[in-house]
Amino acid sequence: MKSELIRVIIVDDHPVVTRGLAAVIKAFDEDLCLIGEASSGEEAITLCEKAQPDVVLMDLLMPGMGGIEAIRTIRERWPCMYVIALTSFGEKEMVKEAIKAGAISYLLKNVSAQELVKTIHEAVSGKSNLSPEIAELLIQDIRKPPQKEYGLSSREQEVLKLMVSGLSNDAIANRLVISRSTVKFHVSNILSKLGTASRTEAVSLAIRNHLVN
Amino acid sequence: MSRSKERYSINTTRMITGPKEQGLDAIKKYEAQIRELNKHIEREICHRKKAKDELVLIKNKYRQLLDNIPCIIAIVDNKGNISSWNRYAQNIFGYRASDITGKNITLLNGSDPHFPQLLNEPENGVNNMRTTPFYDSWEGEAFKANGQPLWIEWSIARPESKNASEGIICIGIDRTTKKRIEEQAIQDTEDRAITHERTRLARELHDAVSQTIFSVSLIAEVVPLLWERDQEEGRRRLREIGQLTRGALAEMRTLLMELRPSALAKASISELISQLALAVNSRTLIEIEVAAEQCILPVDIKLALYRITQEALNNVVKHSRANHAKITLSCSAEQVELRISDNGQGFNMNEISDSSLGMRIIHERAEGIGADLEIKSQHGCGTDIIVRLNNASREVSA
Repeated sequence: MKSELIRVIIVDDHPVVTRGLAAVIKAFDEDLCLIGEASSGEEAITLCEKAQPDVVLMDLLMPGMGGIEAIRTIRERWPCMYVIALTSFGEKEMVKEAIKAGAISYLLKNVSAQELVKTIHEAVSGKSNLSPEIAELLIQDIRKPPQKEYGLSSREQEVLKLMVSGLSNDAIANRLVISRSTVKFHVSNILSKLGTASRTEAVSLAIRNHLVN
Repeated sequence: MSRSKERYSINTTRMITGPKEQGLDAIKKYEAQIRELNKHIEREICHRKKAKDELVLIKNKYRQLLDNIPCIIAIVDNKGNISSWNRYAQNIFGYRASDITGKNITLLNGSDPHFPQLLNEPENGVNNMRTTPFYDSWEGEAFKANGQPLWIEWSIARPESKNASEGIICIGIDRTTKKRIEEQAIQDTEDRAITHERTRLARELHDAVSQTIFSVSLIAEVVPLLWERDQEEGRRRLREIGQLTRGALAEMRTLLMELRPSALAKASISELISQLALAVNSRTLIEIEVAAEQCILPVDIKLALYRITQEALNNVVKHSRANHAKITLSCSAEQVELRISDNGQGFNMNEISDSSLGMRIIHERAEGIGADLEIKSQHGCGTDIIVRLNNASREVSA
């Protein structure tokens, strides 16, 4: 028994990518049907409303509202539509944001046509898929010991790193080319943010909690 | 002195020629004169003692000042040999006064051209300095006794008289921290520029080459499947792969040229324009027609026309919604004309934002080579950008 066609739309601001993706969908037209193309998040929402696709292939970095915001809107308005994020970028934060926004799968733009088609099929059954690099990234992130957020500024992190290396205030001032009083100011902020009473306690906490590399 | 001798001298002639009383009077007078003379001598001794004490006091104050002033102070003779060295200099350089006295000041940094020039060359140095009392100053590198580098701002206090024993005062201020901060700021600016350029290239690679190659890989993967079903479709997709690959290659060549400005300068303007057009076409599928004559132009003009074309095409891609564009370059002995036209949505000339970076670059580039710029556009009627340059073929470096 022939199953129903999966209706797909492509959202990408690079026409050349849309061309390649369209070729793939066409090659698998026994199961897949391309019903529209959009080049921005805003266009995608309008198209979804009009065409009511089953699956949206969504680029993330696009002019205008961008892919993540578009995923969020699509999932809020049409919870039955499945959105697959398809991007060149595999930064942890972006992956997390896309998944939080409601992307069912996250693929990098090195995915094979076969894997892409498989992901589209799985999406309509509610199954997720991640590019191997993304899966690895998330596993590493989960394995990492939990870190309390102390809200240190990048300069304070720099100073803390030098404190952990055993440098005195004078040596830190010299290294960072700032005055001794500025270093003292940063050290006092660090102690207060870490909730420690002394320099030694702060250094020990920083080492224990991997606050510096 | 001769006047005082006359005033206090004793008249011995009257003593031996007068009578007894007169003799006694003369002795009394003589004694009075001696007393007066003694008083003066005592006063003078007192003055001299006082002056000597004051001199000692001044010397001590001078030494105190010399040792406590936060400046390097070295007194040198007319050959640059150090005769005095204050405590601050000792702390900064790590040479004790006893070690450095008698050594030449060029020991602090032999490669600093100022000291030899001022001290060792009689025609430019000390001899002239002595006739013109004022301060000379410069900044230069110097080295501590342990070899650590310093950055010193030097001032030379030239003596006011020609008395060689006065010495020349070299005053130095330690500017090492200031210099380090300045160097750090320059380094930061360079780093920012490098990061900016890397980001731009990464963005270009992402926007152009990687997208095209991804697309090519997908099409190549499905070609066998399509070929089995429909050979004509298979052939069409293979041609598409060829076209996309050539486009990616053009993008790569453009990026490589951006990385090597000398290559950009060597390529001909028609080659550069054709490459840009091919790259943009492959990336965006906008049909771009090129009619560029072989013009031999000076490098600055060629680069300016290239950048204008690049920005104009960026605008076509980003804003025009055009599906066709044409680039024409024509050259004659009198005039070069570059025209970039598209069939896109156009814009209202009064609404164009001054802050539009692309348009600003086009204006600046045209202005930079003294070309006339004409922009014609209207809603729904596309855009024409025309650059006209008279007498462009001055010095030719193709």
